[in-house]
Amino acid sequence: MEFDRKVDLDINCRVRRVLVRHWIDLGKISVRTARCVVSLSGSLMRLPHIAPNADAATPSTIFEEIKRIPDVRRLQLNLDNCEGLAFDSASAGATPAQSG
Amino acid sequence: MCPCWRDGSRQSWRDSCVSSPPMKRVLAVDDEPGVLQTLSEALTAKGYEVLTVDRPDDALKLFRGQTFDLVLLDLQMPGKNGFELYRELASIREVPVLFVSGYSRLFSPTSPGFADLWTGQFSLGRTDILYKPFRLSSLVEKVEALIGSGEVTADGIR
Repeated sequence: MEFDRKVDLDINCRVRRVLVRHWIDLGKISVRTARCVVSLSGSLMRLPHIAPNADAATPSTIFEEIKRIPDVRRLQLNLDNCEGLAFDSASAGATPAQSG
Repeated sequence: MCPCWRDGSRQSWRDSCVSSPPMKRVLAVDDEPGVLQTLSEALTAKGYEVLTVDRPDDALKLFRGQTFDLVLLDLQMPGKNGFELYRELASIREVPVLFVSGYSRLFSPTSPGFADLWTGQFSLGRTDILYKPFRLSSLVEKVEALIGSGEVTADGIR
């Protein structure tokens, strides 16, 4: 499979769009994509002052949405507030300790 | 003189020698000189060309006359905040922006101008935010995620 840096940048952009749609605080999370593998590190938290009912999505549904982005091969999670969710996107069904 | 010039093919000379990818250019705007110096040194070391300005009005002048791949924008500056400056920059042309904020509370839905920015520019995915104090590795990560690496490889692919 050919990997293209532009594809990685495009994936990164789409991942940020997903996070923004769910009011995730981008200042507390880093998104990296290399060879179509997306890595999320930091904390998955909503922006301050966002009402709990503003978005019903759970971390699992957000991760699922990211995995469905075209060209994404894998999602690696290394989130401070999602213990036990590291690496395998298949584990995205677990619930983090804190989601903001 | 470049060897390929000798064959008389101007196109060949251009292609092989002149058209290598230019450095990616970053405009950093912050009223704190120390922060500007840190930003500049960290990104220059990673192969980006960094221009720094400490006043929003100077940033606008520079942005009108030159092209940049990315703008690093402090949120809290005297005279004009980052949100206001961003709107003026965006009216000139679209550019990815990395906001740098000293206080996360400045970057919340209660901040004036935030909602428009979040549902507009941020929802396009070409904008990001970094909170001070930050690790240089986080800065570089976010810049690379927005515009790609600053380092030019032998084959010209960045």
